[in-house]
Amino acid sequence: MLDLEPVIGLEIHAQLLTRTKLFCACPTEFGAEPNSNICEVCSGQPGALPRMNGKALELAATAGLALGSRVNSRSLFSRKNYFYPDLPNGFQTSQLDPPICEGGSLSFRTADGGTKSARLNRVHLEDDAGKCVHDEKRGVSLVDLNRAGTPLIEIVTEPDLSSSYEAMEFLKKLHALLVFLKVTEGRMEEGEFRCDVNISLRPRGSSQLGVRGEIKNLNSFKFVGQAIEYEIVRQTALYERGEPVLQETLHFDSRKGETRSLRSKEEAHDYRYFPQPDLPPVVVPEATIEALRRGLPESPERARERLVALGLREAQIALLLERVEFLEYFDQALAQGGESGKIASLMEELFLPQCQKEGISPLEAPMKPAFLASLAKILASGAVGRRKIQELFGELYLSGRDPAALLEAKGASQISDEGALREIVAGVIAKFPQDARKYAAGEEKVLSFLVGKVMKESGGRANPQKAAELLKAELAPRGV
Amino acid sequence: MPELYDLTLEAARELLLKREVKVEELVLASLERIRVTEPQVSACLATREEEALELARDMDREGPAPEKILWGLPLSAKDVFCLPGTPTTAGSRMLENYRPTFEATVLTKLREAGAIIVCKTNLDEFAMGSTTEFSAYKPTRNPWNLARVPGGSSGGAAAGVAARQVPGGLGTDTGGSIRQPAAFCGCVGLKPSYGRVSRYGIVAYGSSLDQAGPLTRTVADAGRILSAISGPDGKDSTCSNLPVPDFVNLASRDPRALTLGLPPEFWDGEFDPAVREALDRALAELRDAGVTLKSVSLPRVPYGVATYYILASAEASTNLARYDGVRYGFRASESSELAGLYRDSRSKGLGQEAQRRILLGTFVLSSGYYDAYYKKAAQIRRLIQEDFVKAFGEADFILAPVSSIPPWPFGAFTEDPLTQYQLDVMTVPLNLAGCPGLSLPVGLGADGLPVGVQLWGPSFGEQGLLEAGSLLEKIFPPLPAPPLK
Repeated sequence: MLDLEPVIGLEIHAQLLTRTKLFCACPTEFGAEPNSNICEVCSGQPGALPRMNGKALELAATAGLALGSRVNSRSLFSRKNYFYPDLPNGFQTSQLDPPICEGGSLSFRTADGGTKSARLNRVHLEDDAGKCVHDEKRGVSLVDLNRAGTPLIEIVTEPDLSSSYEAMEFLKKLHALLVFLKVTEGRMEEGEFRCDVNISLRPRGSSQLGVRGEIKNLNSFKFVGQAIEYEIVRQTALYERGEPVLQETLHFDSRKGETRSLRSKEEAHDYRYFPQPDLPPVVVPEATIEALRRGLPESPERARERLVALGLREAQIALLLERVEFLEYFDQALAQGGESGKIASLMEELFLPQCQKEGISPLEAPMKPAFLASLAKILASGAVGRRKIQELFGELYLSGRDPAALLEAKGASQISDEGALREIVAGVIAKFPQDARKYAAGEEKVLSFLVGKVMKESGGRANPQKAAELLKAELAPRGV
Repeated sequence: MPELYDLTLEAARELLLKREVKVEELVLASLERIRVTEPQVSACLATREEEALELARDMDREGPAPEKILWGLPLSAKDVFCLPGTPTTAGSRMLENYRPTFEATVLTKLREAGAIIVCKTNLDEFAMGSTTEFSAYKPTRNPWNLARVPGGSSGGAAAGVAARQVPGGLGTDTGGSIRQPAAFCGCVGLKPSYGRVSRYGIVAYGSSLDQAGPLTRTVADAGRILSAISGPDGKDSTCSNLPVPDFVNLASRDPRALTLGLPPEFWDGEFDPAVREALDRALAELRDAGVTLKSVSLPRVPYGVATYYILASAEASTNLARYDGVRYGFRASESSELAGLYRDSRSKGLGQEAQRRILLGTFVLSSGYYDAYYKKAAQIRRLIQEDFVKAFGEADFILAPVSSIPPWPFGAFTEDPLTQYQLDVMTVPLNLAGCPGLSLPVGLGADGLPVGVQLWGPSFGEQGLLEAGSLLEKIFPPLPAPPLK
């Protein structure tokens, strides 16, 4: 039997996190009414011309810098010509030569626990097409151009991957990095991060590349894995039967878990690339590239080491590394002298969910990092209970003021004062004599009931530990 | 007082500002002249009577606005400029019912300068042609001889200005489409430097070559329109941010301080005798006036036609890809499958010349041919640009003929496209170089047809070009009105 090794390269499309499209001012928001976010530019009207979105350029360069690519100070857009109803101009505007970024690499974890690095060929900018909606019932096809003109980067790897595991690990790592850097939202189910897989087989140890199949448009890590596994089996069978592998474009049917041919090499498009005459060369001055490089946040790996050293839980670390602004917020709060564990848990349980509900970035939230740090300190001191903070959090979040003052004003601080507590405890015992007797007779579990009553009487402000201590002391068998 | 329709922009402006003539009267005179001459010249695809008159009356009510350099003046616009509410057909069946929702930047600028667009003018389909015979709607006739072509592709604009329908019109020039019809109809035509004028909202033909520019009866009027339409536009990334000099108040030049370079590649060629004679007479008059004429070579311009037809067609083949019958424009309804929809819509919606250039452009960009055609043409274009830079080191301006033959009878070359392409040899190099050029009449040939010359200037040197043009205009005064009924 032949000992074959898979050779895999990936082409990843990530939608850039910009407010507007690549060549016009239409919004990129998802889920709008069909054909509502369009204008003469992105719907391909006669005479309309593209104008470059500077933010998209910056994000593409940022992605390249984070991946160790060389950012070209001069790159060029070309027209990639083909006909399809969702392509309003009859061409896609993409970068052929030179692209915005070249080279680079990304390392990832291998199955045996080691690390491996895959080289990148390039990162380039291009615009997305619209989409066709086929209405089988009415027998018509409709075109929605809302997505047309949305900015994408295409990241092309060298054929450095050799298993479905490696491909998936690489992709997960890349996805996490780009989402962390806010280059993309990365919502795969909405097609914001999708992947083409080039795969061929060759006798192990050979340095020649075999004939490859290209599996198009996979939008989940799982499908990437399944499609590669299927192709390895399919191509291996061809080799074993002595049949040639054909160079073709493949579609992965996720329901059946198999690939099928879309078009052969002979049917492949001749894209007739040539320089897009409506866009001058894209110039990114060296100084801008340097500024972007300096502005890059620390890498997620480096940040992870730091967070581990702080003793945070894995779930908290993973959360803070989801988005660069989460980490930035955490670091800013930490700089105010809060306790890292309390800051992280407040962010995890209360603050970030609230931000998500409001749909805003943490750094734009009314609760500044300093206020969250202050809240963490209050929590650590035990002056206000966790339950109370939870209850008042919505208000604290919105107030835009130091929570210490607000909690004080609300009289929310815990009653730890023995005199005041003792009075409440005595009241509770008088009100529930039977339960008090039960506890005194040794029925331990009644204690929590009584503590609950103390909490209720105090409007939730009693320090529960202190209350329990006082109850125990009051009801302890006397004179024995 | 002359007829109102006979006034130049400058003369009409004076009367308007003094309130001796109302805007409405001027617009009515233009519309009436269109009504009278249109059966002979067929220059217009649409008139805008109601909108134009309404605008005119508003202006009359508000009173003159002298700061607007085209206040109250009627103009025509070639039917490639998107104008909301008016069909913009580009001379094609494909866009017969297309009504743009947005306005071409140049039309916005004209409107803001106070101009009133009274009609959209005829052209070769998608500005591809040099006779206006390739209009899907009708051929335009040369006002000097109705059996002859007016030139193209801005043939409607040139014929309309020559026939006194309007004192000025806006055309586009990709390979000579303003300068050649201006010469054929005996008026002034200016192609600005590439990037001087925004291309936004102009139905694209050859994107790296297209420029909008004026057709008028005097050089000063051309300068006035150019002033209004020039300048940066955030919607066109290829439009220059350079400041726009004054093209209205032009300095006068001394003929004895002017050196014109005559490329032997053009002047030593073969000419029709009537054209040759008119050109020789013009050269003699220039010398008599004290202008220095010297031979200045542009060695690579003989490759201009081949280079131009490769590059322009390549760009056109993809610029016209959007006309697929899917979103707007003509759609052949017979086919229910996609390839058939494309094939039928494009075969029926696009004319012969447009299809020819799409095929040519598709071919030169195809895998295996790109290097031999497109890439090589792009290289030669750079060499031609070098020729121009060098030539402007030796002479102030280049003086070139516009056409070696006079306006020809209809149908003369429709079956022989290659010969017709070759006739563009003296206009296309300027577009490849990206430089500005001014075409103006030097007189009538023995055959009674206008003969023109072009002045070429360095990139963004329109001001000097207009000054030199004004000087030449003194030597070759504007032609009288053509003998229309």
